Amino acid sequence: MKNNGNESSLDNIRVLDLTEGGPQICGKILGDLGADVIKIEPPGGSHTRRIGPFYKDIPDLQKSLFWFAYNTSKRGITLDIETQDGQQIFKRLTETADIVIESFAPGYLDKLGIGYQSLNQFNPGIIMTSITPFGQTGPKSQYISTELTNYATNDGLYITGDLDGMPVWISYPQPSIHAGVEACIGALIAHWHKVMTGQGQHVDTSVQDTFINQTEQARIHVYEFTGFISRRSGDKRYLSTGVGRRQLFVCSDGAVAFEIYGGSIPSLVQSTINLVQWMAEEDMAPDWLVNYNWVVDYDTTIVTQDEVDRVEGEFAKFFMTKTKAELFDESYKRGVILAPVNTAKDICESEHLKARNYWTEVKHDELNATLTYCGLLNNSMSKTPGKISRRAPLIGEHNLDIYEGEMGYSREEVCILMNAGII
Amino acid sequence: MGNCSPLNGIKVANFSWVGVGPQGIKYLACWGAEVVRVESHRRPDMARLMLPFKDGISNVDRQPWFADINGSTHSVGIDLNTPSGLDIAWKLIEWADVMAESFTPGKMKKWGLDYESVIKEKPDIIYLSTSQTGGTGPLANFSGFGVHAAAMVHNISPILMDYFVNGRSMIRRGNTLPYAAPHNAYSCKGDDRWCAIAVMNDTQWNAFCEVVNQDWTGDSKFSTLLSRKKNEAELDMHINEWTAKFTAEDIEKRMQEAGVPCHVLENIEDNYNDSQLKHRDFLPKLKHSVMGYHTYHKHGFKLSEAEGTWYAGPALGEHNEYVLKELLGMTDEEIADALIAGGITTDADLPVVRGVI
Repeated sequence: MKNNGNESSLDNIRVLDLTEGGPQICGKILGDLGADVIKIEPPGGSHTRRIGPFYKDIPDLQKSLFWFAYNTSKRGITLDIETQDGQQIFKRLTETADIVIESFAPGYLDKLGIGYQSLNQFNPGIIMTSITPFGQTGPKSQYISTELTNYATNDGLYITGDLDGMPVWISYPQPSIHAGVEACIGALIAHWHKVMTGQGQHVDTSVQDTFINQTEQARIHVYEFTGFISRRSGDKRYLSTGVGRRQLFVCSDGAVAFEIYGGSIPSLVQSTINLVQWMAEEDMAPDWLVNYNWVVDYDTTIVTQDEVDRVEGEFAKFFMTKTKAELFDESYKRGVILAPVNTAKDICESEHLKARNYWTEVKHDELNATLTYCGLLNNSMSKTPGKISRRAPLIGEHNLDIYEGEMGYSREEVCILMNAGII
Repeated sequence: MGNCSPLNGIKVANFSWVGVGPQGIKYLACWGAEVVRVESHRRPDMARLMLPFKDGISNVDRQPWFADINGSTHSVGIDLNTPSGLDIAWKLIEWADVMAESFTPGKMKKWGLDYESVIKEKPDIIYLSTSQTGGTGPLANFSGFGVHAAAMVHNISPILMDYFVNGRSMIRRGNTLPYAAPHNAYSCKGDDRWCAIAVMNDTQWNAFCEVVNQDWTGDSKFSTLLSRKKNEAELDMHINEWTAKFTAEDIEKRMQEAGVPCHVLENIEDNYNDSQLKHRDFLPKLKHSVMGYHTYHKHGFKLSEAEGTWYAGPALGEHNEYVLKELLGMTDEEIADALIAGGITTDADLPVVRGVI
């Protein structure tokens, strides 16, 4: 089938999105990829709309930047699923849906008669994608958890912070956003199976499992093989040899991510040699550094702390004389593996991201403004790139379109539902 | 629970290496796709060379993280720098539905295996490329590792929108949250033991006070959210005095029973022994051909009709015979020729292995 550039990857898929918070990114990705995503909020609006920052710092349920960011490409309706009418309407919606995404406490939807087992009865192809802190079952499945406590369930919080300081998280909540992305992958895998066989299933996503899978990397292996328990180490990386090596260096206007590589991998060692070359050109490399044997004398698996400190001292002095931008630009030209520690400002003003069309302008008619969004999927695929098809919905914005226009309720009935607080 | 194989029949030629590529492809490998990793004994994946090795023996097949992220995958040893190796690569691409690579932009082109070249021979290939900065743009040729790139920028998109709309560039703020208190990590009994407590509303605050059962909780300084935010340092000081008397596990249990969000700050040892992770079978022990049984990670989701296919990652070139003969249909003669020509690599081609960090 020839693609005329207007097709999207997930045409003809309908998604019902009941999520709150970070997990909303799941529906956003599906929506940006072309699925018809209907965001279902409680009457009066989701409590996620209270999360700031707000547009022009105006605290308003229709101005949350968090809401805007994670609900692009979705239409929005209101519905009280705790009412009989609400449950009946939801079931009707599910009849023509492919995927349902939710983040309620395990068992909540079952109690309302609209859990996976119930929905599966009349739509065997339905894929329910659940996102919860610990999964649907198990000793902690009924725990109450927020992003901070989610963070604590893997060792990421324990190991972040200064060597002699307390554990600190990444200041902008992450775990449940990661879980939303992971759930999306699970949902698409399940969806492929449904396309091939007609069989739906329940995708049970745990924030704890996801955050470990996506961010813990090799620490469990290190622990299992050596007994080494990773701890806070500030801007250094400590290994089971006990030696700490810098991963960050302060420079004149901030910091850069840089490690001095030595040992047996030529491409890594070259990065170090290239930087020393630059330092030498600026008379900031003593002879011993210029003549240093990185392969043998800086084999990072056996080098001593004293030697590391001696060598790092020279680099640290050099970095202090340069800005982030200078270091990054020159490193790029010289083949040095180095990156600036970016602020939000740096990212937003990045020429590179602009050149890659990373940003997307989205009209907000209700604000009489156009806002700049991350174009998460802009460059994702050559034939069916993702794109933001619309801004996040206002509260109940598509109630009439969907209840009256698509489901056939009369205007009078829709008004009754509104009067009774069902929508 | 059923046990379907959702991605059954999908074939993947994985030319990627180190972290991001294999980790991404693992979502295909462990859910039913058949994945072949193209490796070279002459230039082993850096991930195979990282410390620690099992039993401290330096060997490309004794690296557990490599095995973990390359789980349920075949490995074939091919040298793409030889015509004979490239020939085999093309056979593999012909076999595959999907191919993946994560080299520095330009590298695949040098081998004639870039997207434009491949679609000439195989127009329906799905070609996945991942690199630090995306292959085009002023920084196209930036090469580096995960720590170097703002790959997950969309995870902070509200902050970026805040900059565009409100001109603000957010700074770090410890464990605090502007609209909750108490909200922090607190020091507990024992060596470097902590619990996280996050009180998000009045109900949780009242429950928290009941558990803590100290006079200071009744002070008007702490009775409203705004007053708690104003006096947060003092609040945290009081809480730390209380938490110091109990183990983090004890506090977590009591708080959760009262309906207050609270959790021990787990370290890696806690994770290894975590009862919820055991219930999810999230850290199974799988049998590796060289390392024997050791721990692997599963994915964050479970499927009700599929258990997933969880096998240990491959030894380097472990599946040369299977891939070349069974999948690609090469004859013994063709294989012998390719070996002589240096296109197929074997253990004999390995460099001296020294660990790296």
